[in-house]
Amino acid sequence: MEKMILIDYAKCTGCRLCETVCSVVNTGVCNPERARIKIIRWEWQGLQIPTVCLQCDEPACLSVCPVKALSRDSRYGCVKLNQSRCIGCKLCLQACPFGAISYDFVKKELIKCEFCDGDPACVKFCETQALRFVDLTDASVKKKRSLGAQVLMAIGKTEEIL
Amino acid sequence: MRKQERDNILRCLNCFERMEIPSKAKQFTCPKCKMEYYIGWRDGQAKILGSVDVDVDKEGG
Amino acid sequence: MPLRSKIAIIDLSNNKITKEPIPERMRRLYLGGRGIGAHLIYNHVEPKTDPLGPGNALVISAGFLTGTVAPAASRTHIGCKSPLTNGFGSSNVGGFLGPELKFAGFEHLVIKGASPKPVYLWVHDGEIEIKDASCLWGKDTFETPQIIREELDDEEIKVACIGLAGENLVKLANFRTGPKNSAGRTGTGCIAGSKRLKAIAVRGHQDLKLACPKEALQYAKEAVDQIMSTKVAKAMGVDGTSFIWNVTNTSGLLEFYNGQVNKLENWRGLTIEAFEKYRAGMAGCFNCTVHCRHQFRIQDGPWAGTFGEGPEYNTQTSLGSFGADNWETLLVGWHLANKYGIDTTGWSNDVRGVMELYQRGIIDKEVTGGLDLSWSNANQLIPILLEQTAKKEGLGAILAEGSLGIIRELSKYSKDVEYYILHVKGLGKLGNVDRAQPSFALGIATSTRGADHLRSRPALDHFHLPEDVLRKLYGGNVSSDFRSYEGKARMVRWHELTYAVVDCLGTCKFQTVFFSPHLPAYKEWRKYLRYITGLEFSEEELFDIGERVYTLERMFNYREAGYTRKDDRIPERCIREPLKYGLPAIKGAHIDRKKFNKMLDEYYELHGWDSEGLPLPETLKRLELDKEPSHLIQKID
Repeated sequence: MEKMILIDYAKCTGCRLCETVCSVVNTGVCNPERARIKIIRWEWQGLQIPTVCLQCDEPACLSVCPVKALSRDSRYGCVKLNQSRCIGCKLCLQACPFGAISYDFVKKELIKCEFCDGDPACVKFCETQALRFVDLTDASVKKKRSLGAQVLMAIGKTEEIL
Repeated sequence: MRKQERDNILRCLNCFERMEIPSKAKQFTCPKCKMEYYIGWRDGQAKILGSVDVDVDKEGG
Repeated sequence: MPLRSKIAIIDLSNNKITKEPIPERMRRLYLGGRGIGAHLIYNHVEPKTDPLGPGNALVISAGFLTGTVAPAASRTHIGCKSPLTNGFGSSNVGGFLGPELKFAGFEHLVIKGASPKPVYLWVHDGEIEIKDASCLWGKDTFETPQIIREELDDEEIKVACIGLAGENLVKLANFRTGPKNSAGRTGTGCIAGSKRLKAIAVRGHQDLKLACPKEALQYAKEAVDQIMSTKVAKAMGVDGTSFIWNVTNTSGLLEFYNGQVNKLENWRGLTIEAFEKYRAGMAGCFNCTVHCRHQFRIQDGPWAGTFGEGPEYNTQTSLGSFGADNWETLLVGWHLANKYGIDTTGWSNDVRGVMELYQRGIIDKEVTGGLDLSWSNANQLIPILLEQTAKKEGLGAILAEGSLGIIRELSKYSKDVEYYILHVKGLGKLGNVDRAQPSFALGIATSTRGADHLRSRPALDHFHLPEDVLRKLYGGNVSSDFRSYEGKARMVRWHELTYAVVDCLGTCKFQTVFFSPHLPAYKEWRKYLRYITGLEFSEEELFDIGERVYTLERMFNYREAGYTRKDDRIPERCIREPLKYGLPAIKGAHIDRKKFNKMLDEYYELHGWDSEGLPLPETLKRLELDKEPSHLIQKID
């Protein structure tokens, strides 16, 4: 069943716990710079947004890779990077329009989100549920429900969080 | 599933007795010392907003 | 050993930088954060030095666990010899600075000497550079980080800086990082200004190695579940620390007009409910699931467009204690205090005192520079006086000197001036009542940094917990009534040492036993330490570390300022003037001098100090403090 990390950016508080746990699970150390997810903050405007690989159906990274190190994994619907094939040319990093691929300067390899083998750590630790791991088929209706709850509260139809 | 502490139990600020606030109540009287409070709710959690008819400064310093 | 963070000694007089590892022995004695920071301050500040001179040291100390997966491991301690008290200067700040410092490879920065011209430190991945800050001098604390990020072409740089107040050596100047996070108290910003240190810019890409990554992560999840299941975590996440205000105001536990009254008729204008129209969201510090930082935006009026983070309970009580009756006044004052880099707590305390002097006719418009300091003018006065203080103009020149400076300057008009400027050891106090609660009064009287509510404030005292629970927690009898003196010395000491441990660890106090007996304490912290650092500490060892740190701070106060029992006093008003208003349980409360002194005796005895409040020789030996100053770093392998 294909899944996605559904981002509700209005709920993100910018705490970056997702980055820390991502780095621990994927590299064994605390180093947000080596995380596959990044929270971009504009602290002086009070804005923050989680950014992570969108696991495109037709990934730009896959199409530019000269050694076919990238492929789509149908189990969860994520794009995986085969490190043993990768030559580190960084064309994928250049090509991705979302900045989803980054460079781990400690292990000297390209890295991207691969859903932590179906149990994303960032989602597990996100207290506000700004990040949710959902079935692709449910994603849109979940987003609509989330927005609907906010609208109904804003117009005073309910005082409780739905 | 995380076990949450109950959201509608407050302590009277005068006699420290536990008060179980009925859902959505706007005022509540302590069953022990009869102190009357204004009650507010936020995300299902009860809180004391103020007390009814208690001595305040009217002179303005 | 995991983490492998370093201490850097930066001599601004000679442009010399040295880096040293932290030996395990130092960890076992002082842990990290505030603890190692206290040791560094004790050893690096030249005895009896002028706080504003090059002999003072400004020490930035990230917590031992700061930057790791421990819940809310975001805190950093900043210390020095305080220009306000001449004693231990100490302040704690959240946000993202400390974690970034750890990722840059450092846990402590000891900044000594003074630069001949404005500089800032650029700390990045094991390297430290001293850079020219002449284009930053004069900029406020909002602009400075943005200019540095542009200059160094990296939006992810974390910056701590001083504003105009620090540059002008205003003694209440603070050191700020981000829109709100401030190391507010004791004048650390003033010391930075005296060294012409405008800012510290930090960027780190280095690993923090964990001893047992899998167990650490698993336990972090358990700890977060424990924290988030409490009512207080939920209340904080929605209303920030301002959730406390409704409770203390209802009781009559707030001070207005410098403590003359404790409840106002027009209280509704300052409730958290009245704040709603300004609310713009909630933000969190590093790794914090509670996210208690308000964000606000002023939509209309002369300050339309002003965005900020906050407010906190502290500032709500401080700026709200002048008789200001609307949130906009508070938010504007908050915004300006942050812009200039001024401690809202201490400043408000002093301004309240000066306004009462004006009320009583002890000073007049000649002293105030033509300003009418009537309480009814509070809304207008706050922004004017903040600017004057930052620029040391008009009345601000006197306010900039802090409580003791104000008393010195204005005592010529009346010998009663000292009574009306409320302070302990030269540090002003929070606008929260402490004369109804013996534990709170003891706490501010004995706090090692002056009248302060975070060194030991036993918030649990207000929860009326069953006495068997208290006995188990504190190891002795403590009354569950906050108005009682029984066992409160034991309670205060326990909290002092426990909060010292929290500050050594670098986790946020709000996610500890500060707010609830169900929140993490020693049992949990042992596990954080075991899985993250690989070091095993018993509860007794941690408690001893707290005692060691606290006693070292007290020794510093005695060495530098001669503080003894005579200085462990509360403002006379708390003894002589019973509370006028409030709930029947509160009304009429005041501190009983005899009972207070007896409580102080008990407190000294529990600490192993003599009747003057000085550590006994056997206490120093037990805590291995008898060889201080030790320059432990150089001597131990």
